[in-house]
Amino acid sequence: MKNKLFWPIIVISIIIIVESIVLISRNQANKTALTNNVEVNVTPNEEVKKVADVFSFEWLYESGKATLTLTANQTVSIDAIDLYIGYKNVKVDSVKNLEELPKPSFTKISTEKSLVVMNYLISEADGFKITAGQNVKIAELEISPDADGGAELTIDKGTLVVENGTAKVLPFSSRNLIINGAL
Amino acid sequence: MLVAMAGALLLVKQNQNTQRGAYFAGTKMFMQPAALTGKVGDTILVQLYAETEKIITANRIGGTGTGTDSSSSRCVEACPNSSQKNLLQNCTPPDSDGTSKDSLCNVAGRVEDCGGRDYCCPSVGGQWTTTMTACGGTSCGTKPAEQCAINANEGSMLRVRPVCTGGNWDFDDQLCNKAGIKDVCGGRDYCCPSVGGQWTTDMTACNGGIEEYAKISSIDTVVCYGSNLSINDPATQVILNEEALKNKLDASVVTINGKKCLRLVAVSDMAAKPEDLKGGMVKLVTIKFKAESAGTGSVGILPEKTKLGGYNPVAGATDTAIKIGTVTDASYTVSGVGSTVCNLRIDPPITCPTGYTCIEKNYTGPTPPGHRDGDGVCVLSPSPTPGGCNLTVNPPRICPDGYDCITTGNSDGADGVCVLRPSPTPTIPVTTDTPILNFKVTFGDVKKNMDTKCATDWPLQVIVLSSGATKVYTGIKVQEIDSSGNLVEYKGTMPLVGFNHLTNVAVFIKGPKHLQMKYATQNQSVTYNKAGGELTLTTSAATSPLYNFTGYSMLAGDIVGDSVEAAPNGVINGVDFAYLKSQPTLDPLTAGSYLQGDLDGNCQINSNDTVILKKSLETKQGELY
Repeated sequence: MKNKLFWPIIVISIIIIVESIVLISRNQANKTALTNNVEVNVTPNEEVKKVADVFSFEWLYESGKATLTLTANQTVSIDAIDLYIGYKNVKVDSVKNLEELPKPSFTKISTEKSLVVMNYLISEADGFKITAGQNVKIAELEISPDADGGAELTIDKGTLVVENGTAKVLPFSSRNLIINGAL
Repeated sequence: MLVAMAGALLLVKQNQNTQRGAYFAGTKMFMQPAALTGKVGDTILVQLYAETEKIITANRIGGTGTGTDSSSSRCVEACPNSSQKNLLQNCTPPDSDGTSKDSLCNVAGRVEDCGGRDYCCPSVGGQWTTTMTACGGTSCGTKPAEQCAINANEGSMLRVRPVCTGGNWDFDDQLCNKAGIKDVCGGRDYCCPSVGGQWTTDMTACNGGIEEYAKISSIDTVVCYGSNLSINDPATQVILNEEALKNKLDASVVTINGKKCLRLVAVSDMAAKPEDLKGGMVKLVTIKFKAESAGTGSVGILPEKTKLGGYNPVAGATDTAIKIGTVTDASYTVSGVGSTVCNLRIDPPITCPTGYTCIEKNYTGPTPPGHRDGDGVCVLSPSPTPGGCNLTVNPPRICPDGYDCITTGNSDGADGVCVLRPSPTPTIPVTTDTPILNFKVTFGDVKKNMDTKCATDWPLQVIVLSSGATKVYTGIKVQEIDSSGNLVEYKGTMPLVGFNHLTNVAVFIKGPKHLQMKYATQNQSVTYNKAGGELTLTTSAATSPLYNFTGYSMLAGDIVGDSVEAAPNGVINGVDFAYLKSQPTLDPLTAGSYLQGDLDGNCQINSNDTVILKKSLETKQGELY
């Protein structure tokens, strides 16, 4: 009985040992490949391109009047500006278009939402052309900052400037207007 | 016996095919009402429903209809249009309305597909060309082949129309997520026969197919419930909806994982033809639980032990399994005091639940009809407040939450016992097969007695809401009717399949280029600034009220999304306006044509449309800010 089983047991044992070695080797290979993949993924292999701003919104403030201007970094023609100005610690008494742009289709000071909303929709077929470096006055706000200070005007996230012809939303930068109590 | 054997054979067949039923996205199974309430001793009813999916069949069941592809015959392809070289009219495939998919060369560098080839727009207003140098050239390398069989086990996706973007080939991935849609992949026509189904080159389901619900012919399920409920006599407490399932093969109480469960096996009438079987929302069975004790729990279907069988018009007799989709349980609350009186003087006595004492009621004079000597009510015992309750002393001895202080007429005149407060009448969602919504609407500035030949078949999205439940319906078509006002009126009638509420309904309707409007009252003419709604429906088209929303027309102008390529996004802004300006049509299109920017329906995009958009924007901004 022992003689009959001896060789089959030896053969099966050898097969099991060989299979185990093969399996362990494959796992090691997979781990190496995985590690290599992670290293490749975390290492940027191409330069991230930053989209250049076409416009910048800027503020001028003097004697209770905050003027918002739009400066073009390149010559472009626009069809629309959806302007949302957020404010806090300040009372907005009035808002007006300084007539460099056509009259807005909608203007409102929303005290409920602390937003000034202006929608400029330019009907001219070629839109409103702004040349590189040109500065256009968009709106003038008469404001009464709170005595405690901390008054701030911001370009809210809903704001859009839309290009004529392509209807593309153009990238822009903006700065907040912060008015200290002393002013 | 014969019925049982035949039913068993049907179930065996169904079980063999459990993994099939691939033509179905899944049948929803749920309980109605979703929240059960009752008192100890009450009978609490719950109904088990199945809502099967719609599929498209080539031939009506029992009929011999055949279909033709009417859409392709309407589509005229021009790559580009010979008289207008800046216009591509692509029929490979056609647009969803069967006409050509039109693309203007209005953005330099734009690449569009037409007739299976890529075309480049070299400059704004220029002519479409197959020379791609102005559109990124061939930086992506060789155009890859379209992939026509992806993830075939979980519904399939076609990866078609590769476009070179940023140095990589982007595919237009098309899911089989709407029955009857078609696409072209690898030069072959593909058809989506059902939601969640698999794209197939068998076009019969997409060529003049007929929408049918999957039909139910058998069920083998297990419904488990909490220890506060009981089924003592399944023969009388489990009642089949015989219109759907005629024969109860097994209804027995079993214990699974320590919980009591109902095993139910039932089949339809064995002589029923496919057209006699029930599909869509189908009530399967009513279970009459007996409330045994106070407590809360759930009544739930075990999906892993549930099999639905039925007629699958696409697969025929080879696949009778219906895939189970979502399964929704019901909750129950049994309050402690039964609705029946207690009586300790009769044999056998009617006792109160544990923790309650039977307080006999003493009648002055003869016992009223329907009552017996010794009848009483169950009160909390012992009172959780020592000495009972008394609201006249200082400080008052009050009852716990959920209990009322009932004075007992003793010498004090104010001492009382704490009695469980009766439950308020529960609000149970109305169970109905299909509520019907009849309504009239107007599209802003689509005016009567004006040219509105293209204001036809504008598809609506309708959302209904009641008691926190919502259901969305898309592609709803409305018909022009005689108008009593200044605007063209359209009427719609739609069954609200899958929506089980008839009262306090609110409806949100959105046109294809319009803002979504909320309608909640009859003859509404202004914004409804409250939560919920006040509409009441019935399950009959004839008796369900016709709601007139024509006084509050849909505001037009939501034409595109954040970019001109994106779908409307629920707002009207400068992108919509600029898109409108960029798409003028000099010559009007033919009646019935569709232009996304044609807001007044006159088959043109012109200055009037921009005026309409400005008006809508002004109105909406005024509402919002």
